[in-house]
Amino acid sequence: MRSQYGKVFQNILTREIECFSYDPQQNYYEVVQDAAKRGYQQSIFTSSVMISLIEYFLLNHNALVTGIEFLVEDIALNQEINILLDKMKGNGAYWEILKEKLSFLSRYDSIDIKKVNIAGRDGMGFLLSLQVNGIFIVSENVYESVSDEIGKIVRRVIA
Amino acid sequence: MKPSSIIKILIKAVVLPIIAMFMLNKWNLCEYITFIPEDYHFDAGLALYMAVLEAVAEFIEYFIAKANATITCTFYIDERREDRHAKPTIQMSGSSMGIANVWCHIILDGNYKKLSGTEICLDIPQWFSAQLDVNSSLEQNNHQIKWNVSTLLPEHDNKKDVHTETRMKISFIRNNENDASIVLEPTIKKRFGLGFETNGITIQNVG
Repeated sequence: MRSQYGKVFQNILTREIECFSYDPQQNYYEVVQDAAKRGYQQSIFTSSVMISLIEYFLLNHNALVTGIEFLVEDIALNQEINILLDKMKGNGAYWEILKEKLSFLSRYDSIDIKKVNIAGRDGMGFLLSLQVNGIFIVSENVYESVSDEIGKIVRRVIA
Repeated sequence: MKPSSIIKILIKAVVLPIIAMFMLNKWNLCEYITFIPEDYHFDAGLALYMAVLEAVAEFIEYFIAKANATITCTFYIDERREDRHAKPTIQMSGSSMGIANVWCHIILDGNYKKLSGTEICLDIPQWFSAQLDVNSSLEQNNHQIKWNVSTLLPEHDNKKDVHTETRMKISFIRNNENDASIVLEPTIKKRFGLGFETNGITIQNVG
C-alpha cells in the first residue's frame, strides 16, 4: 500500500484549515515558505488535536491505535501506554483511560505527543501516521477523504 | 520597592506633617478646647491634625485601589515550577520536530471597567508561528496574538471588583532552521490605573 504525505496549514485570513499534499523529497522549510507567501501558516497537531483526531478515527473508522510516541524519551511511560494500547484492542473502553492519561501528561507534566500511528479498519482499510509538526502520512487510496476529515477536526479544535 | 510605594511613604512622612503644620498655623482647633493646657495646644493640635490627615489619606488610598486593576501574565513550562520572576526558555529543535510549547497564566484583578476593553498583545516574529487551542477570547493573525480581556472577565452582577484567572497553552513551530533567539513579552495599551506584570519568555531555534 503506497503512502502519501500531507501537511496541515491554516489560512491566516479565513482561519480555515487546509491540507496540502507534500513530497518528502522536497525541502520542508521551502514548502512552509511557499505556503506563507500564499497567506498560510503552519498548523500543529498539539496533544489536544491529537486526542480529538484519535477519537474521531476510533469512532468513525473503527480504527486501531498502533503506536504513540512522545516528545520526551521515557521507557516506563512508553510501556504504560503500550499496555493501554494492547488493552484497547480487546476493549475500546480503555480509550477513556488512555485519553485521560494523555491529557494529564500534556496538562501537568508537559509531555506532549510526538507521533500517533492509526490503522483504519473500515472499507479497504488504511494506515495513518500523525506527527506533531502537522505532517500526516496516509494510504494513498484514502488521502483525499482523510485529509478532509483531518482538516475539519483540526479546525474544530483550534480555529 | 515599587515607585508608587516610595511616593506613598514620602507623602505620609513629609507632605502630611507639612500640611498639618500649615493648617495648624492657620487655625488650631485645640485652642478652643478648654481642658487642654495652653502650653500643649500646638502638640495636641499636631497630633489631632495628623490623625485626621492620615485617615483622609487612607480613604484616598482605598478609593484609588478600588479604581485600579492589575493584569498578570506568567509564562511557565511546568505548572509546579511556575514563577512570575523567572523567564522560562523553550527550544524549537530537530528532536522536537521544530515544536515548543509554553503555558500562559493570566490573572485579572481589580476594577471591572479598567479591565474591560483591554487587549493583551504578543508579537510573533516571522521565523516561527504560534497556535492556540480553541479560545473565543483570542484573535490571532500571522504575527500577533491578541487576548481580549473583556471575554476573560466573569459575567457577575456587581461588575465592580473582579479576580479571575485563566491558563492557556501556546504552541510554537519554527518556519526555518536558522539559529535564532528572541525574548517575547506581551504588552497592553497603557491606561491610567491599569498595571501589567509579565515574566516574558525566551524562545530559541536550534538547528
